[in-house]
Amino acid sequence: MRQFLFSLQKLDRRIIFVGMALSIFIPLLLPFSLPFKVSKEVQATYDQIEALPKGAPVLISADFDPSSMPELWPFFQANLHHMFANDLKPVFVTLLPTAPPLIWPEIKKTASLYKKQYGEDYVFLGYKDGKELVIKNIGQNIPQQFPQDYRGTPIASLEMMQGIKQAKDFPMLIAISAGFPGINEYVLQIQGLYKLPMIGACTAVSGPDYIPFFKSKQLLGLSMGIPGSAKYERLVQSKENVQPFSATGAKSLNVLSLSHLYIIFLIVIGNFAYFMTRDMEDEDGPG
Amino acid sequence: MDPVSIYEIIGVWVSIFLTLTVFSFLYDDNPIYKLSEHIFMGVTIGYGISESYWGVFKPNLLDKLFVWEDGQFAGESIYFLALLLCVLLLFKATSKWSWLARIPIAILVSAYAALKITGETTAKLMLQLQDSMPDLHTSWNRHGIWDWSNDGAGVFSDTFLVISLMAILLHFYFSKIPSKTEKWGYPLAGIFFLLCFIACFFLSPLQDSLIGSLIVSLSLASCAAMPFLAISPARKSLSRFGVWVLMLSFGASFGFTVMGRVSLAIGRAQELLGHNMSTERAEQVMPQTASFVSLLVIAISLFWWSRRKKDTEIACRLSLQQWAFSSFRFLFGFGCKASMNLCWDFGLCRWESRNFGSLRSI
Repeated sequence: MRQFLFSLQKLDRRIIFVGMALSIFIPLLLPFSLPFKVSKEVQATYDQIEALPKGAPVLISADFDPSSMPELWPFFQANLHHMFANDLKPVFVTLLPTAPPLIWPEIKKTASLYKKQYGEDYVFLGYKDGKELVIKNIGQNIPQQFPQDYRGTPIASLEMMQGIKQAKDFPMLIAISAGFPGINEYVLQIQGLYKLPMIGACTAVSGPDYIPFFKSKQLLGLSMGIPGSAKYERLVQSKENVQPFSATGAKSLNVLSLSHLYIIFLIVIGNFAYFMTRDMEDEDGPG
Repeated sequence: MDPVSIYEIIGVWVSIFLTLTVFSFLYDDNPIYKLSEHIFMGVTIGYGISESYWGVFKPNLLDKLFVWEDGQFAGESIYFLALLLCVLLLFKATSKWSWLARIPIAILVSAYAALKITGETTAKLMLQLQDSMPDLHTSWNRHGIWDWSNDGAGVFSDTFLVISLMAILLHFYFSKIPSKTEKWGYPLAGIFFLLCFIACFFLSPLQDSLIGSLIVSLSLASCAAMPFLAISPARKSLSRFGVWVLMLSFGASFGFTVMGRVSLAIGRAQELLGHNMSTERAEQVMPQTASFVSLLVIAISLFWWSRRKKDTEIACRLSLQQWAFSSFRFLFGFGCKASMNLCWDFGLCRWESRNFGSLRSI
């Protein structure tokens, strides 16, 4: 027993990695479903979008890249369905150079499911370099910052963009953010200055930084990581007029739960072994 | 079913192969991991430079500056200043003229500070400061002392927030409190506690709820007394409490970080199994076959590399032994020869000098 406890503390890290890989691959290959409850942050996100009148333009900043796709892609996908199902008119921008090839095909695909026309029901302004400066300019003058859309069409010629000059012309801003520039910069440069209602979706790592914004009602809704995306996805899928789409968030959440159980198990046995052997001496010497 | 192009299939296969090569680092640092690391760095830098040139440098500077109409310069001359500042930045690379780079850096820093300061004060400082002083009466009316259905919102959480905030701030207060001032800590805290409690209790808008008034008044009085405890001998315990709260918040942040990292691993696993694409697309791309082939290639490479590494280690050990032995022989031989030569030379010199002396005497 004693040797076993000591050997636990000197466990080869590769065994831990193999265990982690199994805890991820097994539930993916043998899917199961665990129950989960929708948090108030995510419920608020859904309710705020539901409260928007039909035909209202919504500014969506999709600032994620391949590395943050697992966490933010389910939210983005569900959000697209939510927008088009509610007949809202999203205007997409992105501040990350790797985002357009990811989001543009999905926007077109989802819009075609709901028979929406480009320029009338949705617009993609594309990517602009400049990070926080671009956000500042979106707040002040959108046509100056984006004279053309992603396809090279002058935005002045797009029907949907008539009357939209700056961020405060939108009734709502949704920032889907993987880091910098993202929710924090939008809150600083647009929400705080123009009091624009704003919703955020972020990665789990940056979640704790944005909770104070939700508490102070600077963010009216907040979705954090895979759990937030999965909950929002479930709410959108339960709507009547939404076209069916793959629930990638819910699938990932089940895997996430199992891998966390594995981590908790490791923490518990690691601590148990440590406390049991704290006053003992290892025969092989310190490991 | 739309056919998937060959470029897309190659893209997915390369992505799967590179994912597994990066995971091979978990086994050991190896050349195949290094390969993917260098590819990643190269692609990132190349993509970044290309984006910066086509997205910023060209449209914002070159297209506005170098404009020619009928052979005449028609650009905006003010952009020469921007170009000059860009060029000055490059002087950072020289040791003699690096001070010139301070000019554009100073402009950059000041512009960024100006950009940030309004947002930071309006959206962060003021609002967050306001939010850290909760209205306990409203909180009692909405949630009571503790509301399980609202993640524990209520008077207890709000009071805990204020007291924890002060305790954390106290932890970062490093100046010594004079002993004379320290004596006043407890009495002042007590007086303010009593005054605040009485005032809050009798002026409370919660007149219909005695328990509510009592709890809210106690909470407010505790918050009011806290700053005076900071100058009392109890400040060490308060500071310790602040550290505990900090640790709790760091723990929560770390938990979120772990969740984020596991989420990334899940994303990669979904790609390896083809769960991130439709069934029709997966049938054409065959991601699971790609994963198996890549895994096989990587396993063979790792096996070959570890064998080679072992052989190299043995060869190095042998050559080290040989080198040590030959060095000893060389040093020994050199030493013997050198000493013999020295003796010989010394003797020869003596003999020659003697001869030379004899000659001189002649």
